[in-house]
Amino acid sequence: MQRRRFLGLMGAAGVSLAASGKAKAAGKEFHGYPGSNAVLFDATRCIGCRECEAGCQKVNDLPMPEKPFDDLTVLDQKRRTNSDNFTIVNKYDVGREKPVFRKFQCNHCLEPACASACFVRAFKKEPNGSVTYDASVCVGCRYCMIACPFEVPTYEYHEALTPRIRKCHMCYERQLEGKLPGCVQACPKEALTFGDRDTIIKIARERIRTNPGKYIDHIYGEHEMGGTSWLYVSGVQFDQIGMRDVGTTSAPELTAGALAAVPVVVGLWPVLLGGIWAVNKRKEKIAAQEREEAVKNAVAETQEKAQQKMSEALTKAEESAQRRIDNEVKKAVDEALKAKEEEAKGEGEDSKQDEGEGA
Amino acid sequence: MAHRKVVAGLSGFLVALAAVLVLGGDVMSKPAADENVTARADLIMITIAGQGELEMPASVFMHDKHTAALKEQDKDCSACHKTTTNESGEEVMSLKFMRTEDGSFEELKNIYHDGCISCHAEDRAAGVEKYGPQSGECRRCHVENPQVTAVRLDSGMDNALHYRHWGSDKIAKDAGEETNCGSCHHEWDEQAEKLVYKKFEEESCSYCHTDTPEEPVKTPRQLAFHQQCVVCHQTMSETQPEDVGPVDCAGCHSAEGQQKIEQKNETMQQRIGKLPRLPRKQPDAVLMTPPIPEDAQNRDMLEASAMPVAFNHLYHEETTDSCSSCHHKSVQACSECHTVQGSEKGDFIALEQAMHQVSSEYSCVGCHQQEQARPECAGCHAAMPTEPTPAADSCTTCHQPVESAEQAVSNDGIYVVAASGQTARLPKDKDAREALAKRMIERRPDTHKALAVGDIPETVTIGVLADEYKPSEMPHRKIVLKLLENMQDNQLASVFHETELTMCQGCHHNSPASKTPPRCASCHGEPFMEARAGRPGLKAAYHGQCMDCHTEMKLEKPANTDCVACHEKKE
Amino acid sequence: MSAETHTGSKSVMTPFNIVAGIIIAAGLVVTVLRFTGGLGAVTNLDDNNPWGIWIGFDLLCGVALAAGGYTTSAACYIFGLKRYHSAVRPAILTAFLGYALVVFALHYDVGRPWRLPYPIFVQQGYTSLLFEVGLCVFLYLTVLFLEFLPVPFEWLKKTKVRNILVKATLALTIFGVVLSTLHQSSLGALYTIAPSKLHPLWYSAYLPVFFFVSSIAAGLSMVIFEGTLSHKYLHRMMDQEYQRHHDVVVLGFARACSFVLFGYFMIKVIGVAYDNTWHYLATGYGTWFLIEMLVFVALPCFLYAVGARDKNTKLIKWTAVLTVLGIVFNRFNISLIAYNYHLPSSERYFPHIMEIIISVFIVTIGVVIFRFISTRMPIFYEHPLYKSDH
Repeated sequence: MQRRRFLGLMGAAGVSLAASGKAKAAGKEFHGYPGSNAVLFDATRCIGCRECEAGCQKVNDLPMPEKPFDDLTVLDQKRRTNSDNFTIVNKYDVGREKPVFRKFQCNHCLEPACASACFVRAFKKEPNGSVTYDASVCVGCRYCMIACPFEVPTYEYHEALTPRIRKCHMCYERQLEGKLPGCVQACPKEALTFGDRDTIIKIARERIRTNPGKYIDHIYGEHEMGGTSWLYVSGVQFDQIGMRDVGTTSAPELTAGALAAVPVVVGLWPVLLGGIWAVNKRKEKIAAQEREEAVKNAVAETQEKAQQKMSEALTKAEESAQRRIDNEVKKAVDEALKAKEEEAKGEGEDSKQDEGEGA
Repeated sequence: MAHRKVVAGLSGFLVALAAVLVLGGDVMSKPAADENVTARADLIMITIAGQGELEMPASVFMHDKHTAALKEQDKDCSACHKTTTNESGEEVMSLKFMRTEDGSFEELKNIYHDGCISCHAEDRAAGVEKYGPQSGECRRCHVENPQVTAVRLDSGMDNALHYRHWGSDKIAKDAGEETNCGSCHHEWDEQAEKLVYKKFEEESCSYCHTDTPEEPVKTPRQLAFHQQCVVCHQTMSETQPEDVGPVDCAGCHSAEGQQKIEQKNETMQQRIGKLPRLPRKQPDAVLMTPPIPEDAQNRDMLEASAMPVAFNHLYHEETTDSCSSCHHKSVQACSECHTVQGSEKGDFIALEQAMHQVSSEYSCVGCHQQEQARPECAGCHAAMPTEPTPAADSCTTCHQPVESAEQAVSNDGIYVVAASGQTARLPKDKDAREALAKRMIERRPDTHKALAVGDIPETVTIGVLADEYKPSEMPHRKIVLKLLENMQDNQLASVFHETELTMCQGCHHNSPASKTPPRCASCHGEPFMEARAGRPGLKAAYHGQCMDCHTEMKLEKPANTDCVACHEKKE
Repeated sequence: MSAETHTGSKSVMTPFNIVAGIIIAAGLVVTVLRFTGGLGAVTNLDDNNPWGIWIGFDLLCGVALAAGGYTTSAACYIFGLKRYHSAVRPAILTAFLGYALVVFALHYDVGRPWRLPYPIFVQQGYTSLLFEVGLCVFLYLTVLFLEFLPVPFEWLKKTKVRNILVKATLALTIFGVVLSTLHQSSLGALYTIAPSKLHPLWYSAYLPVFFFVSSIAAGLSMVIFEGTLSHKYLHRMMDQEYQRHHDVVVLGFARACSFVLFGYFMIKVIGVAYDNTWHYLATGYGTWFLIEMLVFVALPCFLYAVGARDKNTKLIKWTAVLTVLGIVFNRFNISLIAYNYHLPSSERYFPHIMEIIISVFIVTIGVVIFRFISTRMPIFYEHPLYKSDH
């Protein structure tokens, strides 16, 4: 009985968790800071010259690579960003005459997964659009890397004691100084367009509209992961240039359900568990009381029965005693009468017998 | 003792963990689908459709392999194909295997099993080296995942191949005519209940023989072509094996086969020079207007959205692949199906759309747009925004004003009133209209206009990147002359590049045509200026202009990424 | 109860000690490498695969398998199943050690382990599920420590403190269950942020529920499993009370676990139906998923039921092993195998031998400490002074 209840309650717990998991943060959508900046990458304009890489390396004081930036053979391999390179360009052969190039760096989500995932708030979405990182609190748990759908944050795996997360920060400081991000500055073809995000989206739409057939009708980053500050237009499907469909739900929304369950559990669990405990306790108490009473009753009953028996026995005994007394008295009277009669016969013998009967 | 058991237990646990990891790794590294599959044009997957679930996978059959094998054994098609009577009552080869009509599932199964295996068995008994699968070797034909796939390219008849047929002496002439069109083209005569040939009314095959033909047409497209082409080639090859069209699958449907056909076309063309016109009495020129109303009341007046277009039919015959490049279904006037309002017959594509739809390869504008994709044109044209509608000022290039001198119309002409307010009086008579159209066409330029060489600046020095590189010297005149040379014989360019300055606007865009256009820097300055959203900065404007043009024109040198090819590096 | 003299008379060079010694020595070597060369020196982790077996096994499996603590104490103290009382202490001890080792293992995995208290004391990332995990694990470890404290106090005969702590048992248990519910589930919820990286068969908005429910099964099975091990190897430490109740505990837990596994199986099916991922079942990953669901969930559910009905403790004990393996399998799938499924195999992660050494090293430390405590303190027996106290 109790075991069944135990399981039933576990089931109930599951249901309540699931229900809250579905609940979404309603009416609190965030569409980025007003006036925040964005960059549009146009894959039809990129020529794969790696000037953006060089520009990034220069403004961020990153170590120069082994092969110089004008060595374009490195494009033959698929590369990704790492702790020494915040941006890279990859070449994709899409079965057309010319390969397509795609730049890769932090997309600076409007609601960044890394910031949402970080348990020390080391990441921050700045009002100008940058997602910045503060190494002074970072523990190095790398959950941001797990969370980021674009696989952007990288880690200094060879730092023994002071490893940092490294990623593009959209040249936050340069932006504050009114300068362009290093890569945008370096791009010779304006394959990177910098500006206010709303304007950038309009520009992207205009390019798609006025060049039918040139672009696929999609601005990657407009809605991906709730929107990003780095947007992309392309002449080929995005999955052909290594950009996966990551959905349009922002990271905080993905975890909102699980987080919303916390107060529910904290609030309800003690009440539920305390209740169960109290019910069990009370049951035990009642059971104990009942047992006690039963014992008491049983004792009382036996006592009563014994008493009754005793009194019965007593009356019986009394009666029999009475009867015996009566008998004795009668006997004595009879004998006395007899003796008197016999006295009349002989005086001396009679007196001895009287003495014996009286004892 | 007890500890040993702990150790054993622990190591067991670890082994299990390791197994999980290793197997997990195996799952993770599953290879992608096998790509080592060969493509063949003659692969036929024999399956008896419509019978629910099949016991076995479809059987792999390679037609050309069998044709070749039979030839080696001095056997012909009749080894597999029976004779049947066609719609004209002639005895022809049935294209079905060992039968003329389909039967039940069981019957078909037996026909295939008996037909195939008995022949293979005979070969084996006769000591043929490569005999086919024998009885009981089910899986040799019914292969689960065949290593070959059927890849058949579409085949068709372009003007050259068409001429090789209608200009051929080998094909029988039509009764009492010099032509042989009736050997292939036919029509169903309902009264006579047979196929007849009507001269000058030839239609394209697939006009009647659609994929799902409607009564009285019985033969679907694919079968019609095979019956017509393959059976004819086959019959002919029996009497005069030299230079007969292909009878194997690969002959028409593989890249190699099509290449061979192309080569023969070229030799033919070299021999005869210009291709003769098709003898179907088609006009040289057409004065295209909306259909002229039939009813008496409106007979004299035609309201049109624009002035008529003189269409150079003759020129387009030479520059297109075949009639169906424009007449996609039936060789009729466009407005037969594409009415002003649109009709079911024309898939509700109205006449105006049919002429102007950018996305269609059959419309005038659509086809011209495709022409602009040729490398010599694309350098400029690819950079021009091709908005969903063509630029408004280009209308009159086609919709020419009809001048009174050209009209010379008798009194029974019809007034055309265009939406623009222009009017013209056009003849009703077909020949007169054609003559008018011809005259209008003659007014069009036939060579490309160009500036005098001296008016073209020789070089332009671009010094924007002067901080890192030395100024770039652009050989302006050389580029312009090369572009002009490219389009010298291009009628489309001659007609549409209306003035000698039109071409300049390929680069000097968004400003009025002028011999001294504004400098690039007057519009393009610092990048990402808020007031000029979407307009490239000067550096990107230059790079975009040069690099995109070179890319579109397929110029390999200089490479886009070769900075010093244009700018010398500063020391 | 005469254990001390027993072990004392034996040689130190038992096979167990030798193996444990080698593992610990190897672990110490790797420890030095880890803290001088960084993670890159000892792991196969990279920028695409930031979490390896130190998270997948040490953290995810460690926490799940230490769930015995809250399930047993909840059964005993909250649901009033007093007959499980004898199982509570070993379970609490295992849980405490488990969590302590999880935290210990994290010191290897995180970049700057001395900053581990940062999320709690310096700057709190409330929006992070990892923050929830961290906070709960921190609090729960404290709770487990308090729950465990009576043991050393009994051992040291400090009755007063011991009695105060015992009085707080109920509050501690409830607190422990709340914290466990939260962090067990949020370990699963950690992955809800990455729908594009986790294979659709494993990804679900219900991941926290899956993790929580499976942790109950894991906890119950772990109590059975390690009860069996202890029964075998630490038999001499057990009093009659423990031994008398051992089979009762095993049967009861088996029955409960069968129900939980059934529920778990059902919600997993609902999860597949909800996300409509049926078509993935026909793929390679689908087979892998089916193995997990059928061999490691449905089968133990059935075997537990049979074992409980037939009172077949041997079957139950083997089923417990199967279930524990199943949980490990599940956690590995989510954190390693189905995670990053979209990457080509050349970019996938496979643990470095040194990572495995550290994991084994940590498990060994756990076993050694468990052995040390349970052979000295009143774990499997009731301290004579405090008998029939409950």
